[in-house]
Amino acid sequence: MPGDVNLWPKLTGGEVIDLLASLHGRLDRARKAELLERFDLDPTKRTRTCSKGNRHKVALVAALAGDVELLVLDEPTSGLDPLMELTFQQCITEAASGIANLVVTPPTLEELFVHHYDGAPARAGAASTSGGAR
Amino acid sequence: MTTLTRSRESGPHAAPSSSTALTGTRRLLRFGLRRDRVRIPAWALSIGGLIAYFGAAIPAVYPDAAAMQTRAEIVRDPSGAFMTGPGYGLDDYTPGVMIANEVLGMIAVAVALMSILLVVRHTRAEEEAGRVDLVRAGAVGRRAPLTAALVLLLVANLAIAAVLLAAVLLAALLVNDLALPDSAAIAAGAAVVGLVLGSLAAVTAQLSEHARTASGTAGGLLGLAYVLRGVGDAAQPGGSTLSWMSPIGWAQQTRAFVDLRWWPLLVGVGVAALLLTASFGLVGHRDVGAGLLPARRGRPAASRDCSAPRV
Repeated sequence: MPGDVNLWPKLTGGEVIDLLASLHGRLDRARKAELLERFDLDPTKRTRTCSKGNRHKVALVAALAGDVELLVLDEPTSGLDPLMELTFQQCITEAASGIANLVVTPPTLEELFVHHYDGAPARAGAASTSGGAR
Repeated sequence: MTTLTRSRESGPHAAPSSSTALTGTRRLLRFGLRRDRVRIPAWALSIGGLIAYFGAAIPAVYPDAAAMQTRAEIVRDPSGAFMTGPGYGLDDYTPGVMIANEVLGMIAVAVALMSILLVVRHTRAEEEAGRVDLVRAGAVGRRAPLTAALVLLLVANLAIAAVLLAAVLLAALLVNDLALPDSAAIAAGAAVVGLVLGSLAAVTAQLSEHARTASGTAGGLLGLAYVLRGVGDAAQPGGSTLSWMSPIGWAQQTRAFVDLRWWPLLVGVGVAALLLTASFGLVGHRDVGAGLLPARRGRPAASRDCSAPRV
C-alpha cells in the first residue's frame, strides 16, 4: 500500500476493495464486511468524493481483506484520526499473528516508539530487496 | 524515513508456481473494458454517425454528376489534395470515391486520437496517478498492465471497424454506391491507423514519466503523419513517396471504390507489430512510475524575470 493513495474516482470504495482484493488472491467477504464495520467506511461512496483518510481506509481494507503472505504498508496511518489509528493497530496485530509478513513505515516518531514492532529501524532503502534505481 | 520490519516464518501458502510477467492480464482487461464501456461506444458511434451523415448529405449537396465533377476538380488541385487524399478515381467521382478520398483521412485521425488517448490512459496515466502501485501489489505481472491496455486497444479498434463498416455501408446505400469489400477497406484502414498510432503511444508512454507528454508526443506525430501525406498527395496525383511515409497514407492507398488493393494495410499491421514489440521490450527496462527518459531538472533559483517583474 503506497503512502499516497490515489484511486479510480468513478468507482465506489466497495468496488475498489473487491477489485484490488481479487488481484491479491481470494477475497474474504466476511472479513471485508467486518473491516468496513471496524473502520467505519461507507462502501457505496465514490472515491472521487472521499477524503484522504477515507481513501487510505479503502486501500487498507483491500490490503487486509485479501489472503496474502506479505503486507508492505507505507505510512498506513497518515490521514487517519486517532480512533481509527487504534483500530488499525488492532487489525495489524491480528494480521501479524496470522500468516502475513509485515513491512510497515510509520509516519511519526511516537508511533515508532509506542508500538513495539520486532525488528530494527532501517535507513531508507536499506531494507529494500528489489527495484529502486532511484 | 524509517522502516520497521516484522518477519515471521512463511505461512502455509506456497508461492504460486505459474506466476509470470503476464499474470493478471485477464482481470485487468476486464477492468479496462468496464472503465471504458461508455467511452469506446461513444467514439465509435460519433465517428460512424459522421460518415452516415456524410452519405445522407451528398445527394443534397451534389444533386447530379456535374456537381460531383466540379468537386473532383477542387480536390484535384494540390491545395485540395493536401486537405483530402491522393485523388484516385477523380475522373469518375462517385459518392463512394468521395468518401474514400475525402472522409477516410478525417476519420482515421479521429480513430488514431481515440487510440492514443486510450493507450496512455491505461498505461502511463495509471502509473503517474500511483494506481499501478496498488494494482501491482497484487499478483500482477510486470507486463500485465501494458498487455491488457494493448488488447483493449485491439478490442476498441475492432469495435470501431465494425461500426464504421455499418456506417459506410449505410452511407453507400443512401447514394446507391454499395460495395462491400471497398466499404470494408475503409473501415479496416481507419482501424489500422488506430492500431499504429495506439502502438506508437505505447512506446511514448514508456519514454516519459508524464501522461501528457506521452499523449502529446504521439499526438504530435499524428499531426506530422497527416502533413506528410498531405505534402505527398499534393506533389502528384495518386500520392508520392511522402504519402507512403504516413500511416494515414497507407489507409488511403487502398484505392477503395476505385481499384481496391489490400496490401498497403499490411504495411500498417507490420509497423504496429514492430512498435508493440518495442514497447514490450522497453517496459522491462524501467521502474514502475519511471520513464526511460529522465525528467528534466529546473533552475535552483528564480531568474530575474521571475523574481523581479518589471512593471
